[in-house]
Amino acid sequence: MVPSMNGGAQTPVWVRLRMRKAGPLQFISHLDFLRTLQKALVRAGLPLWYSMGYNPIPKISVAAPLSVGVSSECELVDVRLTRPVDPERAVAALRENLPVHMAVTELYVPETKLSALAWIGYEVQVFTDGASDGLAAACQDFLASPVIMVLKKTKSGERESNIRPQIKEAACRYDPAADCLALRLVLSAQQASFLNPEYVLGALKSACGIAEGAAQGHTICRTGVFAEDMQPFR
Amino acid sequence: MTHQQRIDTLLKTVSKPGRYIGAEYGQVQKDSAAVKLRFALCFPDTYEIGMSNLGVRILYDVLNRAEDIACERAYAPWLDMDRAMRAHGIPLCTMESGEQLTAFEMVGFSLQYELCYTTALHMLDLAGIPLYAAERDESAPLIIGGGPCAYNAEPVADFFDVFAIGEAEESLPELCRLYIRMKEAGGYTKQGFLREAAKIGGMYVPSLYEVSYREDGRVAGIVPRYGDVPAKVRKRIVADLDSAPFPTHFVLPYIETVHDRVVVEVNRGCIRGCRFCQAGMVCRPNREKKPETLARQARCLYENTGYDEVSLVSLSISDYSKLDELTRLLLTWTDDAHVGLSLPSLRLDSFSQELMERVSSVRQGGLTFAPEAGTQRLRDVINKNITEADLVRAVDIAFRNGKSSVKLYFMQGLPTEGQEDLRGIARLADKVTETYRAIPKEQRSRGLNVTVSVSCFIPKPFTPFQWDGQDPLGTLEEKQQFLRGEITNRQVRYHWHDARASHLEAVFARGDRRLAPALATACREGLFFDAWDECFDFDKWMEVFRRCGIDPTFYANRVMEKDETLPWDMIDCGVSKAFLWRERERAYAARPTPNCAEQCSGCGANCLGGEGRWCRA
Repeated sequence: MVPSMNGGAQTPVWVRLRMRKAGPLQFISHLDFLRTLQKALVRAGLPLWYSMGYNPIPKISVAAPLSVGVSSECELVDVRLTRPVDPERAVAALRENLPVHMAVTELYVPETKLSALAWIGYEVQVFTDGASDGLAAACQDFLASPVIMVLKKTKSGERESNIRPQIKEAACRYDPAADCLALRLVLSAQQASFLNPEYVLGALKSACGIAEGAAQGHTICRTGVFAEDMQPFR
Repeated sequence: MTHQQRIDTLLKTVSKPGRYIGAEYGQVQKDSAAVKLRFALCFPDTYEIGMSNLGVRILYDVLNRAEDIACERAYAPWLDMDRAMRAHGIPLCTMESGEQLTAFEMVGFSLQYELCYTTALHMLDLAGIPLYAAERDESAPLIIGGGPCAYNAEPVADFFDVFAIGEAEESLPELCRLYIRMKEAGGYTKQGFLREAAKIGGMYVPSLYEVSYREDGRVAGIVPRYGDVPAKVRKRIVADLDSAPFPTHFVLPYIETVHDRVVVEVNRGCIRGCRFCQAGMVCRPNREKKPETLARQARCLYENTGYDEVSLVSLSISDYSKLDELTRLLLTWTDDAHVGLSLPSLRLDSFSQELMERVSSVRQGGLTFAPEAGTQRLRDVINKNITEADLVRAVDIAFRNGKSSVKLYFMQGLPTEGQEDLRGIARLADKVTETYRAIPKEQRSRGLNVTVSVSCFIPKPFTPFQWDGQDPLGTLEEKQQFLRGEITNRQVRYHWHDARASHLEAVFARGDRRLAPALATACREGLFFDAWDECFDFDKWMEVFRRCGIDPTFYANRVMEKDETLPWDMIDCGVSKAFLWRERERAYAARPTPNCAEQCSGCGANCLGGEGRWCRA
């Protein structure tokens, strides 16, 4: 059987999708997200490019895969197509074909490599019994300290590591409306030094005595992607 | 923190939270205030298994086609989620609206296997619904059961209000219509509704039958309590399968499920008549869809789902009379769309080079064949008309076409089985490895892998072996060890099922209403997910039976008599008892019966209507 020729002689192109993964979809894994997106791309009729060979698969790559339990306003997904498409029409077709809490907010031809993504911004809400302006200030001070040591779990075991260089910005205030600590974090997105916001929260909780209890919990949302010079990443 | 944030926090602590969030693409959302009846369709197993069930997909579609009915889905949460929900007082809710099951007028359970009974009860309990039908008042939802186990639902009869016998895509909407009509007319009572429901074809209302027992424990009689209640409930079928409604959309799970692909239903019924197989008997008469219909339905589902695999579903796909035409129609577009074809349930004797090229054209997979028994004699007993030569020929083709992995399914404990038959299983596996070695190295793939998977025979109602007892548990286990000793070939892996679970399954398969207290007790003791190794607790089950004064061997191991009233005798599945007994006698004489395509053997199922192409008038 001859593998399909991916629509003939046209030149394949990469397009970049900026996506939202919100609400309950924070609970689906990276792979589930990819499979859901792939089916939506097929339904929307986008001309997906498939790898040659016996078991052809489309080419889809994602910058800095998201952990389960984190939602996002700015997932970047590169998809290889067999030919260029009209961005507006493609976004409209995807809107029809994506689940409620998943959306493509922009589609464009990328000029950068995904690997050049340097920093990711997060908004975090921490619910705790003792949330107050004072606690928020203590957290802010802690995040500004020159060294923040955490225990990192790796394949080869646990080791102490200073995560401070991977924190570009960190701010914490008390949000009286939601009765929670509201954090804004900008953390490293580079492959070698990627920092999961859960580590920052873990360090905060033990250092600032944030209570464990029934009302305990937090939400994390990715809100921005940045280049090395902190310009918006496209 | 809001309620949603609390649930979110909880979801962060459980495995695979994606199965509890709902919000899937393709689900039907309706305004609950704008409909007249809300139906919660429940599957008493995990989301991954329930989402793979075609029957549920069909009924979800059929019910939601009615504007004034809203059908939603619910599944059994896994152990960690179940514990968390109970600890936080969160009841079982549906995937669509997230509302508790008590908000629904009807709650339906798809009963696919006996070992799901406790899970169904557990779900009722988690939803805050009393288990026993008699304990539920007018405000509680009506509990409906359906699926293969409904053919003998007697062990759970006390917990359900109505069972839909047979194919429910016509009868279930009729039941819903009746409910809506009676509610609108005013003066609705549950009792009044159930009396009327019993008049709908295929609807079995267990509380309207009085079952009496003899001193020796056998059923003495089954009598309708009222004159207008039918003595026998005949199963429903869809006479014209080709024009029957079939979903154009599927609800798409986020997480990987067991069968996550486009499925089209090629036919219902099976022409073969294997004597152990309940589906083969209760799904008669065989009815096929036209290849053009199937090709259209597959294409439509592909476009509406984006799946990369189309699976053709049938009890025996090779027996579909237009298989060539169907695969040809599908292959006109599937290759270009990078969609793979999968044909489960391939019969050994129909396996061909051509079929293999078509099916493996895009994707690769292992091969599974089911010789079922180790010797020709025993295969004749069970009417599995395939030969050793068929097996050798099939695996030879497979090995020459790049396959190196073969799985063989067998049953042990079949009626008349002896040591020679068990040895035969090992010898057949040897034959497969010999066939592999006989092929020149350059014409076969490396890494031969033969798996022999052996399950325990379970006598099922409405089969020729319904009267037969299962081997005693000790015998089943001895046989497993014997076969283990016989398989000395290092290239053959041997898998066997937990005989204790099969024993329990046999108890419920041929059980009667007196098992209800054991099920309720088991549910209270926290027994559920019995089909899962990590949950199945045999000793606890035996303790439950002891406490309820039930002898499980009475149900599992007893040979029933020809003239005895069987617990499921109020059900008529089309195939006559006389035919089943005739088949049993032929089995013991090791005489095969021709399949429906060769010659009609007068099973009686043509009384149900349907295509009848193979049936004698």
